[in-house]
Amino acid sequence: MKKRNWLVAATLSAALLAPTAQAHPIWMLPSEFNLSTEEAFWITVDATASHGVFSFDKPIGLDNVSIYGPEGERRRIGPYYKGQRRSVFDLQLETSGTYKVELRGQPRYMTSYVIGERNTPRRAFGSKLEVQLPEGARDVRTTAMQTISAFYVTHRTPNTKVLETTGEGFEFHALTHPSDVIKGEEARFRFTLDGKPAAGMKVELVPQGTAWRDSRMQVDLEADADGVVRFTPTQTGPHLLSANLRMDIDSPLADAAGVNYLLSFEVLP
Amino acid sequence: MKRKHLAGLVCGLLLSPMVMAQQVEIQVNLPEIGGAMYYRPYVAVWIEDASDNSVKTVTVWRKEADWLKDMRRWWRKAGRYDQGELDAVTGATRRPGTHSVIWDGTNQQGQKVPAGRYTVNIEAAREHGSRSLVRQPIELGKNQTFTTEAAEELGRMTIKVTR
Repeated sequence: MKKRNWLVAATLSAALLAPTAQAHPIWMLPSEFNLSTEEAFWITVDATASHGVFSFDKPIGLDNVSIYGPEGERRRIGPYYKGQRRSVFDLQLETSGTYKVELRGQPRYMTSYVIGERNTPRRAFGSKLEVQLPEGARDVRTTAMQTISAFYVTHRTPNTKVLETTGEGFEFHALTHPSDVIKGEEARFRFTLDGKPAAGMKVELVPQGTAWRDSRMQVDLEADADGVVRFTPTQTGPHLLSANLRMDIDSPLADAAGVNYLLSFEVLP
Repeated sequence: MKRKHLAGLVCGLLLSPMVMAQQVEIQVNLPEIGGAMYYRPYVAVWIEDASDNSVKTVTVWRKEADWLKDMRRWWRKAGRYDQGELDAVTGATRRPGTHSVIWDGTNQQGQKVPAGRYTVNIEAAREHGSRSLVRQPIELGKNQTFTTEAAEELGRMTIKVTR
């Protein structure tokens, strides 16, 4: 068990590390976002690292998947499978309310610097405490990179327990409940890092089906001074929101945080 | 021996204006898009005849074969049938800007095609981006210049047909 954990973690971190800026977006897509059944009900979730929305490319480790029930309680992952092109897991929704499913990678530290007469840019892995730099390294800057992928699924009546924030780490504030995003109506999401607004953060929003159309139909958004992103969906169906945060932080380990947050949600008619 | 070669070369040079007589120059324009997720697009330039059958693949700028299918029309019309001949026309992906591509008026077998109506096709597909196809009908054997409309992955392009 321990060995498997380690292997999966290694695979995942390799995926996260892969040429930093060029890492594939990691996302999850559930079979349903809203359920009306009165009994317990299983949903199934696809998880992959892919530029297509929502098409599969590479499987991902599932050890970092956390499931939270309507009272905020940790819940168990059901049957799972890691294939060649995607990973799959099931989860059971037993009680009414909103569940959160999150894949939160550990921060990875990347240090960039320039060296030599020609200011050659170089990179090294490791936090400010760990990294070993050659003599004469200048403009040293360490970034803590983290990928977070999430979705919310509601069994009957939505609630907000799993949407409560703590002021720690990167957080999503659902000013619009993720089960209440409607075509033609403005939705508002807010983002913070350690409670500070993600002001000016770049956000991409792409509706499903990129494999079968010409235009990616990507909408580029920017968070306002309070970290709020506003958009009015023009079509229904699953969407992928990808937020890219770059923010200076006060930490002994890094000078800046780089977060890629990917939220899958459904736009209702 | 050496002289013979030289004579052949001179002959070739003298002939070349005739050989070049029928040509189409396509100024492929890849727009500057930028961003952390920008990768150079895969691009195919090919010619179809009046019945929309592929006559010749002029150029393919690509990396892994996995994504050739994303140039959907080219793959359907030509790519999936011309695998063996691809090496002669393929190259690395290009940076944003204008790149000149020449069709010498020959078909896939290297034979001159008759004058008449053809369609120049330029298709670009980008990972984490869009797919654009620009089709310009031309009359081979006339002198013509066209400017195409800009698309998401292809800027305005000039196509010059020379007799």
